[in-house]
Amino acid sequence: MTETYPDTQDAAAEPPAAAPRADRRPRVVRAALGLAAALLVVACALLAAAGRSARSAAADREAVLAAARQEAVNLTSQDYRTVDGDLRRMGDGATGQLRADLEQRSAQAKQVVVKNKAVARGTAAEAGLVALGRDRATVVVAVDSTVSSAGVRTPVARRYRFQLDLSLVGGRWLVANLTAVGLTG
Amino acid sequence: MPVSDDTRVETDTAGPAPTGSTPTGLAPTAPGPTGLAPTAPGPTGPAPTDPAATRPVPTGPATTAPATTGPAATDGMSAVGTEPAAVGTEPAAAGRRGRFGGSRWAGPVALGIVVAALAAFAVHLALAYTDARSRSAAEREVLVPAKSAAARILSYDYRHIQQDATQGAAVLTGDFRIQYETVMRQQIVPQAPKQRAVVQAEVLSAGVSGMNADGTQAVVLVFANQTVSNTATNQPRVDQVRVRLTLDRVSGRWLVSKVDAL
Repeated sequence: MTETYPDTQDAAAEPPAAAPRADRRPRVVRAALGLAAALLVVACALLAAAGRSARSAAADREAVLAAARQEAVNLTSQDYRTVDGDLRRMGDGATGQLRADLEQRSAQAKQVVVKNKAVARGTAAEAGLVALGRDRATVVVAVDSTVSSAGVRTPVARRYRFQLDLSLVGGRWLVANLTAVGLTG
Repeated sequence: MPVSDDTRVETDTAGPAPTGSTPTGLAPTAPGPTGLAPTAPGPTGPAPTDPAATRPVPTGPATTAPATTGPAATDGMSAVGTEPAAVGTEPAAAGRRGRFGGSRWAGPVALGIVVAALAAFAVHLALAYTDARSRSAAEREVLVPAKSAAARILSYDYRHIQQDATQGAAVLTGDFRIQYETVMRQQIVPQAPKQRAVVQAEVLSAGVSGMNADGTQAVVLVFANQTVSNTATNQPRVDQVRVRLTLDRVSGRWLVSKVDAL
């Protein structure tokens, strides 16, 4: 009976010829492909994580610029009719030294604004990111503002050049310091 | 997200240090299927590898097509194995083991398709990642050339006005360069010596306002003080300047293509 089915016998028992080697090939290929698949899964996972962190850095940049623009606008906008809310909004976007300064000067600022019936409207013309760290950032903002007050017939246009230092506090970017760039007096 | 071939070329050439490492690091894994091609010439070999490396989308159909049609083509010599079960590629063995060949190779073929899809996905992720990396690298790099370009084009001195005009034009590109050259040639170069005009710009601060996705165009906000002196002024006047520069990366260099005074 061994003579009748030489092929099946060969495959099952001792392998003498080329046939068994050919039989092993799918298994070898399968193993190699399995290894390649495993490596690729690892590579995809690593790349996806790297891509996510790169995207979150981009989101950070947007958040920093938006926070800096908003606070720069808030600091150049006040209306004697809404002065309490305006001053509170300035403080909300600030931290550290700037916040302390604002709180200290708040009462006096309110007095001046109300007395002059002042209305200031600031707009951010452009903002740019100077530096960005994990929880600190520096931003430059060009702000235009018009100021009208009781004694003045035509509103006064002002052009500001601000540099703001921001800190990440409790998940929010807040302005810790503000300087007017290159004032020559 | 479709990533076109030319953007990939751009990022490869432009961002040398940080971006280049990523795709090459991937190279061993991505061509995996290619390396296996010799052992399994029939179904897995030709289909998934080459298209997977370059173009992620069409790999799926490409892998399945040769798995069925491929053997028919190779068996064309023996003129018998037209039925799809005859996947065995060796002409001698094809007849005997043809019926079982299909099921034995089914696993590897399926795995090959999975590997090709994974490779395509990895390439896609790698391209997206290198774009993001070259964008953030560009954001760090662009401020230095932006500041020096701003200082050049906002300054001139009647004592070497021709040289200043040439150096100014050298940091510009496109239509703006032509505008600048025209203004310098027609107005500033002839007028400056008569008025003994000296304009000296000092760049105080600059920040990146925006950057396109692959890091080839940037918008930068620059604050500068321009000290102006000429025969009409008793003493130098200081202008507080705010400019928005648009810079394009032209063969590895950042050149100014637009200037807006704010």
